[in-house]
Amino acid sequence: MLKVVFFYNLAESGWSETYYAPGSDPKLFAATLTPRFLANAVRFRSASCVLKAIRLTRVEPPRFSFLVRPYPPPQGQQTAAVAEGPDVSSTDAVILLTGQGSATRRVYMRGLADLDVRRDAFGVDLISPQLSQGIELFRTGMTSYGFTIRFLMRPPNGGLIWQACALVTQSLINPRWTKFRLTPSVPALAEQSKVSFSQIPSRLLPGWPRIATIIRVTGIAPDFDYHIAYALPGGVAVDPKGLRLTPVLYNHDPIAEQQFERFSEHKTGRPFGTLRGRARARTLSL
Amino acid sequence: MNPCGRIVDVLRSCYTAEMRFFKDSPKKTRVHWYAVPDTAEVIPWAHSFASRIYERDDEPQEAIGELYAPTPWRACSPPCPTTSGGLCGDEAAWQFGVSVAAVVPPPYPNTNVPTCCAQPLVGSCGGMALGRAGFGACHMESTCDIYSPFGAAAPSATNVACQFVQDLAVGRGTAPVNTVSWTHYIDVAEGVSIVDGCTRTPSLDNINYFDGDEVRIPTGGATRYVVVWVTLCDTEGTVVKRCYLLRHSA
Repeated sequence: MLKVVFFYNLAESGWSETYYAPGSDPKLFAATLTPRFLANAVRFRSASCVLKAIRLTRVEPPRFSFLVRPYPPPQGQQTAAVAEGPDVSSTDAVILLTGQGSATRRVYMRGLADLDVRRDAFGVDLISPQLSQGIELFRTGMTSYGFTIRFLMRPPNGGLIWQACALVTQSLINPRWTKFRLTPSVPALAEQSKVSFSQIPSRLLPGWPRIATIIRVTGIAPDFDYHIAYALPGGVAVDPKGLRLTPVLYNHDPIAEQQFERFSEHKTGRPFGTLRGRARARTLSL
Repeated sequence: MNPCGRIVDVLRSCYTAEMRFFKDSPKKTRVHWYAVPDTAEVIPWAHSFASRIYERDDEPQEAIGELYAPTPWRACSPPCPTTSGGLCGDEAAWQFGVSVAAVVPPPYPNTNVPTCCAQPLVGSCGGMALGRAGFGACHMESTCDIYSPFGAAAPSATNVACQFVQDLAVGRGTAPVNTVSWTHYIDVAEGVSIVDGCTRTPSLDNINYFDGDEVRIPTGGATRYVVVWVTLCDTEGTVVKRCYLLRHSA
């Protein structure tokens, strides 16, 4: 599976949209992306919006990355703004993507032209025909490439939903890892399995990941120690009151259709900006 | 391995990271992410050295590539001098790392740029990465004379080695207070005696500007500068005295 990140810039702001696609060779997959598809990813947006780059990364190790730089970058074709003045807000189209297996995901498509964003006298958001058609073309392209919705699911776990974590201590294998035990200790977790944590005591374990990968399993049954990538502050043992986990699995469902839900508007927080918060994407070397 | 100024990834800001380049050694190397022109070429292969700043909570650490170590943020200024052509390492190296026994091409004289990259511009500090191509050759090694105080009849030090940098674009000061502005700066050894003339009034947070020492660059030359501000600066592990200058006369 490949993680596909579209980087967009508009004026002095930028954002990214992330999708997943089947494949194991990012460069090979990139070679199949047609200029038409790349143009469709941006042409329904504002005329000053550009598709800066697309990064394709293998989800499974080794996580090779390949960068697609359409240069000159395709850009939006819709009239950028009305004549009254500069924007101080950004309007996103909230699009509900539905998979063939009924998985759903909402994406916020940014960088839209003002003329495509309308609301009628009853307060109902009206998507313009150009915008609707443009988003459908983009979604059709994604469907033809097999783009998927990634979602979390819980695998069967011996009838248990949650297992409590006990005795959180620093890993002796790597000081940047932390280990813990489970109560009940069965069913046991396998290395590389993903787990979702709940009731994280943020004061005791600041920055504890919400979802983590079990890097290593040590110990003798049933008292296994599970190691995750977390540097325990101070390196001391912690009693993680209430911390519990459940195994999770990422699954993918091919995108089948899209549906416009509404526009989502927010202030930029600064005058004359167009989008909130995020800096423009830059091309970097090392 | 060296990207030679090619685009390795797309990010919103820059930072310093540790990477593991060697397939047969756990040795870590510190790298700086820096901005390059949009028109630069990309690495032509899928590779293991993209940024992993957004994967830390979600994906296990890979043996090769960026490590999940602390990543102090830094400005996107390029190294000096930089290059914008060539590519060191083959596809296998960019994917699976290199051997510590691999032969490393020697660098160009007085640079850190390996000879498998295109030769960097002599005296250039890579200003073009910021879209300031007009300020190309802005950085040079030189020597200077120091007159203390400004206008003194004889120099207090001569033939002082310095790195001389044209810095007009960022040195304009901020009106109406704290208007310390400069046109150039020099980096000299920490032990060189050179002072500015700025003071402050007790209980006020404004800087009172006054002429500092005088500097003539190059040694024996007639171009005069006044020292407006002096500070210590860590450049690539070496502490230098950075002296901000305002040109007095050409």
